[in-house]
Amino acid sequence: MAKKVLAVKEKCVGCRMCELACSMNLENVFNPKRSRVQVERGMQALDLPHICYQCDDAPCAETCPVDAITIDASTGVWHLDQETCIGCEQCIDACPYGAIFMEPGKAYVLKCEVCEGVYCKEICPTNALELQEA
Amino acid sequence: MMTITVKVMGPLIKIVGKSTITVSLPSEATLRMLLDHLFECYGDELKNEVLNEDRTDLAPYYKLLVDGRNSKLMAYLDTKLQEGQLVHVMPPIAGG
Amino acid sequence: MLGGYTGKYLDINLETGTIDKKNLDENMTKQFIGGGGFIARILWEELSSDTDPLGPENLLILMTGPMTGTLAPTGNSWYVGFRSPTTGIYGEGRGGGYWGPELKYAGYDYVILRGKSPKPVYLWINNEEVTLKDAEHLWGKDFFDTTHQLEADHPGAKVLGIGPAGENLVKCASIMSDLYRSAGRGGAGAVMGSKNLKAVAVYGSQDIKIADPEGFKEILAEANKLIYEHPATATLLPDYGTASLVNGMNAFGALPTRNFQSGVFEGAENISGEKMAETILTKTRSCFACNIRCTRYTMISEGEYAGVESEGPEYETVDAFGARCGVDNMEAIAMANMNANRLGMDTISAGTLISFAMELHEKGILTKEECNDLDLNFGNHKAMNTLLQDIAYRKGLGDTLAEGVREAANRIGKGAEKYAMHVKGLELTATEPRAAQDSGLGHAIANRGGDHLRPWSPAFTLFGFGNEEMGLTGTADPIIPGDKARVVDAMEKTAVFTDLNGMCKFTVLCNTLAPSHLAKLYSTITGLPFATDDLVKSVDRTLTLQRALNLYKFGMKPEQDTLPERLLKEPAPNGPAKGKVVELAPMLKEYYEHKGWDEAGYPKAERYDELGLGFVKDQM
Repeated sequence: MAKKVLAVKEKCVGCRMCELACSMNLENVFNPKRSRVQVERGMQALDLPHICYQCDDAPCAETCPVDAITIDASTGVWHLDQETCIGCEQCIDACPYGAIFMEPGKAYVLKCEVCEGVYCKEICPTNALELQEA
Repeated sequence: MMTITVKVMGPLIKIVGKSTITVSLPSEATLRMLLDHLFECYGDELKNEVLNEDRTDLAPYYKLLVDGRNSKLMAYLDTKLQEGQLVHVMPPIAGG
Repeated sequence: MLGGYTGKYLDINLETGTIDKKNLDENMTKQFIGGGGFIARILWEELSSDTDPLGPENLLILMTGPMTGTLAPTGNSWYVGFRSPTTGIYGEGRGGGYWGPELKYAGYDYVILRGKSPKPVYLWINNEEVTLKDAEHLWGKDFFDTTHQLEADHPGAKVLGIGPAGENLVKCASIMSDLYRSAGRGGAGAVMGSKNLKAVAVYGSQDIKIADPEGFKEILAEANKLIYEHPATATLLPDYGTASLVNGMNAFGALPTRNFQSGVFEGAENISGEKMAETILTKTRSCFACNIRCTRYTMISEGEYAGVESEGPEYETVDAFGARCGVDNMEAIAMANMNANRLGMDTISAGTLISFAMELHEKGILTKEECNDLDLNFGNHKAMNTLLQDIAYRKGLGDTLAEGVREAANRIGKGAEKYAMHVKGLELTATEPRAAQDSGLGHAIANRGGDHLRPWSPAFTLFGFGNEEMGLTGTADPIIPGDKARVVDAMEKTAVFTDLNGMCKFTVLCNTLAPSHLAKLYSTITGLPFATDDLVKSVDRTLTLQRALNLYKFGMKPEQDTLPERLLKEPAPNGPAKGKVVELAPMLKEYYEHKGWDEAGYPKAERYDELGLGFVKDQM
């Protein structure tokens, strides 16, 4: 099984602190639109975190026309090469979990690559994010 | 003997199973004796919630009210109770 | 620019459609921080004694603070500033939710709205692209429908706006955001309605930078640990919400009941946070960046009130539509709460208005015919829900009540003013001051009128949450007037600082975070060295400027620092405060002294100099 950050939607309260933690950890700024985890908030109290599931057979990688998404065989984590990515958004449509996002104002996408520190998980007030080791 | 009404709130309602309890105590019983009585009836679960870790005092921000007055403005746990009084056991509720 | 700010704001003339993007004045930033501080400074500069609150010359300022949109605990708040049509004096409201952070991600610290649009419009802010758009199709719609429409038109946008109450210039109309969050007090919604502005939809994808990310993470870890270890913020608020106060306030005889006739409600347990958790609570949620999680999501699927679905009701709402109206039916309260959200009305003032009318009806001052043919007796929750709608649409008695309780009492006459529970025209909140004297003082001196949030001192005097750094320790006696000036002053110094920064007061009310934590958060975000002394001074500066606005621009007299006659003269009939009235005079005298004001209640000239408010003296 791949190393991944798992979201437990029943525990999510929609505070979106994970989004702020992610953008702080990776970009040193606060900007939820640049976060690799994004929480959907809807009617009937829906709070649904979207974060890459690191699928075994990843539809995003399969569909990518420029092979910008590749797997690290040792961890099972899928990496996105921003240089190669052309921002065509086909992976966004292909992802069954809605876990790939456009970087605002750029021609590449963002996805969780299970970073060092997993600050999102550390900061979550309800333990709705869990780290699963490979 | 005298009758004291005790009201609990917050998580204590689940432990006690109801919000209002009527207790019979010897005349001149103190709040401390009332607490001991409650702990006998409702066990460690109540004690763990209401008392601090070393069991020397109430847990932080817990309050005992006698007829709506904070017992710390009286003799605190040594406050002597009187027939028909109402005691609130109040956890650290907040809001505003 | 200092960290935490975007450095830009929007200045929009709705009459001409001119949209200017301007740079933030860094000097103002250092002096007034944001939130209510910025609002007071801008209103001072721009408004005069002639400003008609519902005229085009009034400003509507949508504001944030430097912590809004950051990971500072509860960094979610937006504010609205205006001259209040309800009180005629300083108007400010705060909302949580998501809208405030989104405005900052769009690149703006605040928006000034001036003039009146010739036709209904909404403002669409999509990063740099800012446009006024036709809102004919939204006018008349409630706030939920308005939100759903704008979310469909602008995917990902966060929506702030008004409901029918704001359109109809109802004096207790709120500005709502994120469906359920409200800046309710003082009629901001009516000001927005008077400008023909229905909504402001925002989408933003820009960065907020802070000065010292590593230092910030350190103080954040410390602050979060305190929040998770404190029983109130870690357990009681998430489990039972703000309505956990209902049983507690009732125990102290401080739960306003039947229009403040008493502080003890026999039906309190039925409308408590504990009862809500057992019955209609569906889920615990939170606002943006909040790890306290007091938000209730409630649904009712069967019975008379089936179909209710909303966030809340909160403590203030539960008292306003519950105990104050003599209603012990939780579902009826949830219905009123949802409808107030849809209609865009302040639940606190709306509940005050309805309970006022109920008392007038029971006392024979209003006949059944004059009450829109409703059996407007305490406890009649159906009549309560009908009258709520009637106020929003100004129907019959609702039209009179829509003017606010002070003006409604004037119009009704026949001694009705005796039952009008307000300070300076703003309806009172859910603390019975005879059982918490400090709350009487707090309401009397609050800059926006009958307001509990500056600060909510019963957190200390009733519930024992001290503030060691501000010298609040031990146990206060809530039913005597002694030492209350010091308590109110000490608590407001911490609480009001959150209102400058974009945080929620629940971080500090229970003595979870101390002033020094707030100072460190502020310092690591902005990059300015900042100590507790600076914090105290910044709060005093803001509160003093707001008072100066009231005294020198908005025609307020210090004699208005008072309470309704009922609280000053009618002894509490029962409960722990039985026989007590509010002894306001000695508390006020002490408070004026404490603040460096003269005996009449005017801040002394040297106080303005000390606080860097020398410019006020030209107007004295």
